Amino acid sequence: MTGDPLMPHLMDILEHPELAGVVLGGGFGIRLKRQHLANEGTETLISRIPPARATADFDIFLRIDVLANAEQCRRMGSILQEELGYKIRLYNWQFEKSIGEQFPDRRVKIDLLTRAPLKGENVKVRKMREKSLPDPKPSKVGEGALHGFLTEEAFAIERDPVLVPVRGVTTKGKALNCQVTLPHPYAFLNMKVRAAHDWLRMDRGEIERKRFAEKHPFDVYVLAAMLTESELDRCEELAAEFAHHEVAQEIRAQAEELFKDPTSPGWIEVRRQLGEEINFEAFDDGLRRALGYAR
Amino acid sequence: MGQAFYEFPEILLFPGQETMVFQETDCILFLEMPQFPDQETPESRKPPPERDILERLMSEGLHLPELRLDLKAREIRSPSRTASADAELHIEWGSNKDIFIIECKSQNTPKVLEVAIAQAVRFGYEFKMRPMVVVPYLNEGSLDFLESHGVSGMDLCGNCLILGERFVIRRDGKPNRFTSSAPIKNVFKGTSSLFARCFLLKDRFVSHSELREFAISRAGNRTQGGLRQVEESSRFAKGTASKVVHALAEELIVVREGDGLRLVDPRRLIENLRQNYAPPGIHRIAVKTSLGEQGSLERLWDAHEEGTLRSVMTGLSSASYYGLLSTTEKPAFYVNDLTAALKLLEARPASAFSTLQLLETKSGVPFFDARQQGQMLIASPIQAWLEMSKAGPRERDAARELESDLANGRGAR
Repeated sequence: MTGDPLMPHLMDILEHPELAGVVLGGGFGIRLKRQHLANEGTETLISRIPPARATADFDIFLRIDVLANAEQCRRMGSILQEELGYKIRLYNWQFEKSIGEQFPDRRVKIDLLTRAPLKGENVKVRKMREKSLPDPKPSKVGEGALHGFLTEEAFAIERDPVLVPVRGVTTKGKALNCQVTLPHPYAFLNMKVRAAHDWLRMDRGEIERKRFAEKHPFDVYVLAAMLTESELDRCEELAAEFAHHEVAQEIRAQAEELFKDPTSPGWIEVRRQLGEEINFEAFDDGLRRALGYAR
Repeated sequence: MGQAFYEFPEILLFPGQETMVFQETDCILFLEMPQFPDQETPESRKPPPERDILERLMSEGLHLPELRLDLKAREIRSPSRTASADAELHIEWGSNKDIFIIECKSQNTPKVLEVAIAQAVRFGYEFKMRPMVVVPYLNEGSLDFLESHGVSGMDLCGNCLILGERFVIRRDGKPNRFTSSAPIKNVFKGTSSLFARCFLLKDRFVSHSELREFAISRAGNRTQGGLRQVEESSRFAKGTASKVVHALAEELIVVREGDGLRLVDPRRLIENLRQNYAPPGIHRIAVKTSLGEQGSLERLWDAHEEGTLRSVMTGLSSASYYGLLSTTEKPAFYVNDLTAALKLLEARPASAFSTLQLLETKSGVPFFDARQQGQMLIASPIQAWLEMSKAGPRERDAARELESDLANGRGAR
């Protein structure tokens, strides 16, 4: 067992050209970005970035044009299941398999997600009706072998993705030097602020509680801390472009509610987890500029 | 909160300190918490002896609004003349009257409570009265336990469960005034916890001696004195092992079978270890060395083999080796001598661009049950789980898998 249980499985995915273009979000995406910045020594919004840890989950975003292509979905599904040994967990946007022989009961999980289709994009969207799913019922996008879980807050996922070099070894021991695609910080922050706001709503009892949801406000901090100057500039441009986007507007309001000042709930939670005083001014300035809301 | 109506015998539980009383046709909600007892009981660290427990209840005046409590006879011989119950308590509410037969105990460990319940049930049958136990303190878990056996209970701290024929009263959340009557915590904390941890690695021992030898073998101290030094240490003294086993038996976590010892409730052991875990007193620094990460690991391993410096990867850093977490953090190691470690690694303190982190501790706890991983020692799965359980949300999420391994006897692998 190497020091990182998840990297070989990422290498397995990146080894296949059909899968190499997927966008990796979630905690592991943050962890890879963090590692990349450390390797490059790049100057970031906040110099002391907390370490990033990730559990054995891949949140993988599929492009709409991929989901609209039944043949491409079939090939990708075949690679995941027949070549890489993943099994459908519950729905055909959730897959899992054993992490390895040493810990056969540990699972590495893949969730496939996607943004809401735009008008004119010819892809099926269906509301899921399973009773086990909480209301409001989610929707899935696509047809055939794979679906993507419709994620409203991922509206910018396909905009300006970031390529990060990775090196590692596949589960079969093959060394790889390749690139992984991560969401642009603008897209990443929107998703994480929405998740952090859900945590706040859970805390208030407005929605059903999910365990460990308090990781999301912390992730917002880490993402903001990792912003480079050029990324921040681009965030401002994207924020202006999406100024009138309904979901983007909601998320800006949510960011303000969570992180408006040092007494705001999101900020209190970040401080609680970090256990030390941190640079609120830099974070506040960065987040406002990145998402496009004024003081 | 307003009035609510419930089907009897529903018991509505509120967190904290509210009393709920229900009867078949009415529901009465007490918004103000009645004192029970209704005077401030003087703070006392030690619980009173058994003979004085009822005196405390009687002298402070049992009182609940709408309820009349009348402590009747004491030391009552059973009809069979084979035993005597501690007292008889009459409780009236409106037109309802119930008579309780009381068993008192001066301790409230799970084992003592179990015995008290059995005795109270027996007396209830013999005296044809409703059974009740009275102890210094009843926590929520104890009240649930009583309820599951259909036995009422009262304590000297203001908590109660009264199961009448046509009504139920439950009050919980009052704090324990008797700290010495609380479960013995130090067996789950610090060095004493190492014996308790042994039961997560091996669920039975043929004797106390075997337990002690197992603990010593997992301590793995390779100082110049070797294992003998460890054996002479009070950490693994025979008396300590005995005390820990006694406490675990009182908590019904371990049972004695002749000379043998067997773990029966791993989940409770795990929960107690988690609640009582505190990181060892440490001096922690980030350091930089020209040796690089790999070179540093090699030096630390060599020193371990020679017995000149103890080192083990922290639990959090070890998590990835248990298939749990992927991290960007520099590896962190416990060492028993920071000065020696800095010299060995040719390192200097450096918060920026550090190579690794060092945490100095004189406690043997983090080194217990360290596992070899190549040419490196990683933390015991128990240590890794404890550290992760007290860390951030992702770490606590990942800790659940390790906890499951430990609860199912897979900690030894």
